[in-house]
Amino acid sequence: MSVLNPLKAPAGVRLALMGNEAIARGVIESGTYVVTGYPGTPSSEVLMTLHEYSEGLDLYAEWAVNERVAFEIALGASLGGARSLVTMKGPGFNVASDPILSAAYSGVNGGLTILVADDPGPITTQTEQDSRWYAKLSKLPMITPSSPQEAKDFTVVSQLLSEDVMLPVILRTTTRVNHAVSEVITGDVRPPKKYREFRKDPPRYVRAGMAWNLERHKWLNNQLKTVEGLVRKYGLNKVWGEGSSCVVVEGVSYNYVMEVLSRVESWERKIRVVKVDVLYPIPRNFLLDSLSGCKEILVVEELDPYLEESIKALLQDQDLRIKVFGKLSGYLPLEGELNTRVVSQAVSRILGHEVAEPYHDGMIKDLEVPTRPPPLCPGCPHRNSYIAMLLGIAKAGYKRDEIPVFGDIGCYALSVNPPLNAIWTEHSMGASISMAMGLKVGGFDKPVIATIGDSTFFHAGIQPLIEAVNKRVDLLVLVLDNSVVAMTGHQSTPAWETTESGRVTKPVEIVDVLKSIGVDNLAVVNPFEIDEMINKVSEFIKKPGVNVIVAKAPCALLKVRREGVKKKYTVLSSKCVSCLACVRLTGCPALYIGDDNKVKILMDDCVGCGLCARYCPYKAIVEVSPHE
Amino acid sequence: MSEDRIFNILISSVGGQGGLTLSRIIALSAVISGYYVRTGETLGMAQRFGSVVSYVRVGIGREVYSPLFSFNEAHYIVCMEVLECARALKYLRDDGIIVLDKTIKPPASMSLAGKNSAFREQVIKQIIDVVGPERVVVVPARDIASSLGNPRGANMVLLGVLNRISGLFDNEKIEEAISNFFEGRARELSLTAYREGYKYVNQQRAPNTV
Repeated sequence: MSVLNPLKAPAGVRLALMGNEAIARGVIESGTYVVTGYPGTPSSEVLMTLHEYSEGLDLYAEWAVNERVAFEIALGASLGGARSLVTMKGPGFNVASDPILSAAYSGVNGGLTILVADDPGPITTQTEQDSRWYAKLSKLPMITPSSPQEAKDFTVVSQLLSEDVMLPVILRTTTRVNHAVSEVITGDVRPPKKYREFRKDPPRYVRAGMAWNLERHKWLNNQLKTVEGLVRKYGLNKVWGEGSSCVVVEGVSYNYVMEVLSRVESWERKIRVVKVDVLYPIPRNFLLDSLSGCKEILVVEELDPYLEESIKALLQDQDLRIKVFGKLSGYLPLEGELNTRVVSQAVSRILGHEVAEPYHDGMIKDLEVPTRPPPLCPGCPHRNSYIAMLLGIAKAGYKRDEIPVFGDIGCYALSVNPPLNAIWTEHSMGASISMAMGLKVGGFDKPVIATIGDSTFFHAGIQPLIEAVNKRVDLLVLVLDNSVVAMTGHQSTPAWETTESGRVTKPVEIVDVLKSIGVDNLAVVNPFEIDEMINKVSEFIKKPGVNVIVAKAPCALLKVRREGVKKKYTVLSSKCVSCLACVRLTGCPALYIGDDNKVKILMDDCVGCGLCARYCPYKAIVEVSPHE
Repeated sequence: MSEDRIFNILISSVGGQGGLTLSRIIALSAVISGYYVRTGETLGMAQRFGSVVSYVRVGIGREVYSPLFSFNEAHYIVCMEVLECARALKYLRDDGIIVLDKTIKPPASMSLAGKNSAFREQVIKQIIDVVGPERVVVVPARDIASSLGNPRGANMVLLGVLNRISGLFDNEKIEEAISNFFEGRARELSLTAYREGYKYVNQQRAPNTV
């Protein structure tokens, strides 16, 4: 969007960059050649930035079908000597974890950075997963930046460190770094490091030999011992202040502590700040040096007490009796994100509450107004699909509340909100189909429905469908195909003919996949032909076998962006009797009730889908030109 | 006084209104001006039509660490929507100033509860009553932008008002930021919207302590 190109700017320029844009700049500065990943907030903008600004640069930057495949592509590139980086959100790491754990034994050749973005809060994620544990589990070095500047710098460091230790390095971020905009000073750009050679070496690359695996495990443990020494040259891990009350920080929590200290002058002198940039292996020597002479230690970190436990173990190991405070002592919460106020209270506590806490509420309180849960957008095809599904259930003679609807991950999970109240579950990518199957095989004797988006189907829905077809389970599956990864900002799917980078693909059609799996009945419908879809649902729900309806219509936001709005609707006040049928059926955010109690339409937001008009019993909603 | 060299601006909007663009342009203006800046945002398409809050912290001669600030700490709140403004008041300092677009986007929950839009005037009045008339600048920003042929430019009108009352940035720095951010026709439309906003108020109304 901006005319300042963050990837092509020369070294030494001061830019305003979001953390993820800074990581994309770090990709270029580190000479990374292969970048892949699967969209997931808050990690998506790294690849999006590369797509937007990398024209003419020598780079492979593409979304993959899921995180596991993305990681394996990056690993293959790295084994051939290319520098590669793979991006994912925390739950994406779960999907990729299997090959990641094996990669610790084979090691890498070209630098390989795994960017994993966690989401304390949570702001947009199903759990408050703390992916730092994955460093311990997979035995891979992990580093964490505290600001957009460090996000860029540490991307470069992680690639260099990865080649130093011949291991993938995990670059772990959190939302408030990924999505913070701040000043970033650019550095020098390295030429992309591409394929050099790939030598046959079975003991290293084949995990079928148990003696080899034992040897590689020893090799891995030896490599890890070198990390603390290696990171010194990159200037990681820092300490400020001489006080005997010590505060250990990592990532974004560093900012909250510095902010707190800058507010109370007397605290600045009493506190020593120990910033841990390397989360694994725990930098033992650095910590023992910097914590020597501390009377008490406060560990400020988000999510789990990962550092707190590590530091306690380290002190115990050294027979050092220093009291450690943090989440386990109840000084900081175990859930939710931190902020300066919470951190200030914890700092105040280790100092014996000697200074009044500098935060207080103002005199002004919020007014009570109606809540605004995010709704499906005006004109969203998923709204039509779920209404057709609910009306189809009724048409087939079932009550709405006796047919379980398994949801999946994507915008369409917003159908859980009123007035649709449609889905019963939403767990993890692809789980709708397998969980629906599980309910059936467990003995449930009425029909069940699974609803899954197109990208989620590609990501993790195909294998569950194979399982359901193979085991002869009766199931109705709605594939809600808007031909894009909509929720994370409109990324490509394998059905696209050209990717964001301009790469010409061979599109993979969902219908072809469904046919090849052998589903029993298959129909493709346009959810805007709502009567047809209602009929299809009521027909398929009663038929035995695995029946699939593909509801295909483009994401409304994207359609408007590409084609503009061709018509809108307005309400004839003379005909509106305030029955609110339109509002209660659709919950469309473009509808509202005017001060005359008649329904009105926000012209800025109406995209002319006509659903409200279709269901107005009084024909009070009529089409108008978009310019009226 | 030195504490106040960091300015906290809260931007409160409904997803899709342009609140993130506004936050980004303030950040860009800060960097062009040689200031420090840090923002905390909520991104992702699922925020469309949901409540969106951006924290923008501008440090003049002083580095900004935290991307967030707490209640009672916003020097300015820029509200792109009336209900979202009502939800953000706890962030306002006791001497802070609100710049409020009169736009209301009634959420589905309001329509489903049968509440009508006369509610808007009540809420605007309540905001003014609670905060004090001298500290709320009500601007028909969306209408001004619309009259300029650019209904999406309400955010730039509000930026003009914000900069006029706060004097945070030189006009030329903001105009450079806008010119860097937008291309083609959107650039001209945005600059015009910004200038109209700047002209809309005729005096600085900065918080007392600045």
